[in-house]
Amino acid sequence: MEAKRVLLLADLSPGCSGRVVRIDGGRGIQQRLEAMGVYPGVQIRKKSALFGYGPSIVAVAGSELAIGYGKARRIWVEVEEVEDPSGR
Amino acid sequence: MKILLVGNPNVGKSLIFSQLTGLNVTASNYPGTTVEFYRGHMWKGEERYEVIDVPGMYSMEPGCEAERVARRMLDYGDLIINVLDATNLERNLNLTLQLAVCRKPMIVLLNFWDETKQKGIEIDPEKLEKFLGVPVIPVSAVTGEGLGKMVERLPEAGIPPFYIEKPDKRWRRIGLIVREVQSLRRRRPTLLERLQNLSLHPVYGLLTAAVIMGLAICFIVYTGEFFSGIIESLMTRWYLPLIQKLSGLLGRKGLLHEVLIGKLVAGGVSLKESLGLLTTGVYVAFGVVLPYISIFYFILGFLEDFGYLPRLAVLMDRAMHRIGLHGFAIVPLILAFGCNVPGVMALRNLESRREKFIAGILMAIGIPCMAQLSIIIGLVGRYGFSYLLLIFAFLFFVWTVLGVVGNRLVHGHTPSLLMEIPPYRLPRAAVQLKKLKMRITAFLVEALPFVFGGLLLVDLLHALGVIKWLSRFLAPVISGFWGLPETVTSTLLIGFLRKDVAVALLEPLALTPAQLTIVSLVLTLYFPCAATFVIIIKELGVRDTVKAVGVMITVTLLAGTFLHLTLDRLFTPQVLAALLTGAAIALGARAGGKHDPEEFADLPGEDGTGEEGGYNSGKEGIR
Repeated sequence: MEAKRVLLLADLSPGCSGRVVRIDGGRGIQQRLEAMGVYPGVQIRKKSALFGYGPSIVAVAGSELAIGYGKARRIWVEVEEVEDPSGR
Repeated sequence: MKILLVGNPNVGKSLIFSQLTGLNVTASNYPGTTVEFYRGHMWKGEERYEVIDVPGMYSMEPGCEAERVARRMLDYGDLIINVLDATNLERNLNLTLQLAVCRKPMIVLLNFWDETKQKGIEIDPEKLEKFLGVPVIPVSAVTGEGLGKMVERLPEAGIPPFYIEKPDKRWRRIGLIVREVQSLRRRRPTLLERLQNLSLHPVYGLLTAAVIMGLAICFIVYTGEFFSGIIESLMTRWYLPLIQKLSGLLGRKGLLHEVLIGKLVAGGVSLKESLGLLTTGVYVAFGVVLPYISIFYFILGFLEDFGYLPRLAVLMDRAMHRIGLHGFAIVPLILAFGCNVPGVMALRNLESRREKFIAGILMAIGIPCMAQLSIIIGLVGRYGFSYLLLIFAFLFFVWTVLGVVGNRLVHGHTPSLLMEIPPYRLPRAAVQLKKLKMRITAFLVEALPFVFGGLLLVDLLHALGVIKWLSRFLAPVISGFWGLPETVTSTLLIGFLRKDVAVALLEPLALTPAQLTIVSLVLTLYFPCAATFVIIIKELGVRDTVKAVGVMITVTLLAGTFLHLTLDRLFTPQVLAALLTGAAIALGARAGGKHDPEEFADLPGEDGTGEEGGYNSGKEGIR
């Protein structure tokens, strides 16, 4: 795996972690995500995701969040570490 | 002096409130249990303090109605007690730092202190106190540990000396504080944490959810039946002879006899069929509804406190988007099975007016409360499981159709899910029992007057001749469309007041199984009970309520007529149930074929500012 790839949170495979680099969208979505601890610069780890357009489960700022597909499609993550998804 | 309990959702504010004031409010393990503020008071020596439990909030910018309530409350208090989840210090401090803008004296509580040790988290409260400039006290809300110290240190509450406006700077500051005051130990995941990961697994998670829901339903139906049977035999043995004696004392007729005992059935008093306050009224409330409700809330209480509901919300998210809602909407819908009133209240956790409208309609039309269900199970279940199955299949069908159509027609936008998933926590028996007792008491206090009032009203309307007049007026619909005898008119009237009583009134009417099924469904669909109706007007506004009522009447007319034309004429209940379920699944699958493109557009609904005026102002259009 090459390092420093930037992917959408929705496309990130489970077990990967990285840093949020950008959130697309207006002030509203930025604010709502920021309130829950998701903001550009924060360390994030995708724990799992449900099939199809299901939500992504992430670990961020010490808590576990479910982020729906619509929002996960707006969060860009710089991949830093690719883990074996089974080694959670 | 007014003290506000403020903090992120699901940090234990309500439990602390109960501990401080001795008042009971519902506390659970999911974000958004409290959607309203509660007041109580506590004493410190001679001083009386007003304590206010504020709904949880993540930041000072409200995202939903519950957070808006919380934001408004902040201006009202004199002192802020900021409750933090110590196992989740970083995210929780975000609100703490923002609260400084209120310029009010503050105290910080680190709740779940006992849990931090198990999780390998070590926090230095004194160091944190230096960083924040206000007293920091570790507490455990469940045991009440540390709350005494908090009361002692109330006078030390200080105004935080900092305020950082920019989010990125604020988070950098939080990172700095957390690095200084907290240290983590690596350790093996506990059994509960393994379970946590398993229950969100795409395959096993869904399987687990199906098993849990199936077990819960079976458990409620079978134990409900069991306990109801026991109470019935006890009543027949000990209570019925008393009533028979009373009936004799009252001379077996007359106005008082009519009201208290009711009509004699085959020359004797019947608990089920006499329709008096002391016969049917007492039997319905205590013999049928009470056992079912207790068991339902027992199971719900466990699932709530264990932390399962947010997981269910995540698993259901995809399916719920097909009916115009996101996963979290499953929580109010499940609450509505207990009673629609708290279900409608919990809609405050949803962000947009569109979601509230769709979920409100689905709830008011398609979710019978446990009280009504218990009587339906007793009455219809007598003719075999198939008719009951048909009722549920029909409700599922109505649900899917309304959801899919609602998703198409209702203007606005359903934002995607964003929810914190709390850790699993083993519920404590004492807390569970207290909550169960509280909910049962609430049922008895709120429902009993309506049960008796409903029965009184039937007598009154009969005496005034209103029912006879109405029967004639409604005859074309009742007997023409639905194939029911005119005698059911009174049940439809009482259904406005209390649905369980309405279904119970069917007992002496000698209806066929098909007729019973139709009238049970009609009673579920046509209109919410008075208590629910009032709360729907309050939460959705008059305009949306009027629209909802229109939908209800249409659906009821169509559903009743359809069943009358097909059930036991063209199809057996089993076949009809299978057909309806199949049609609903096919419709749901088709509707969800492509992803909602609107989700990607930046619409005002999602930023929470598009609805600042509140949905009651009716700015946003719903066709």
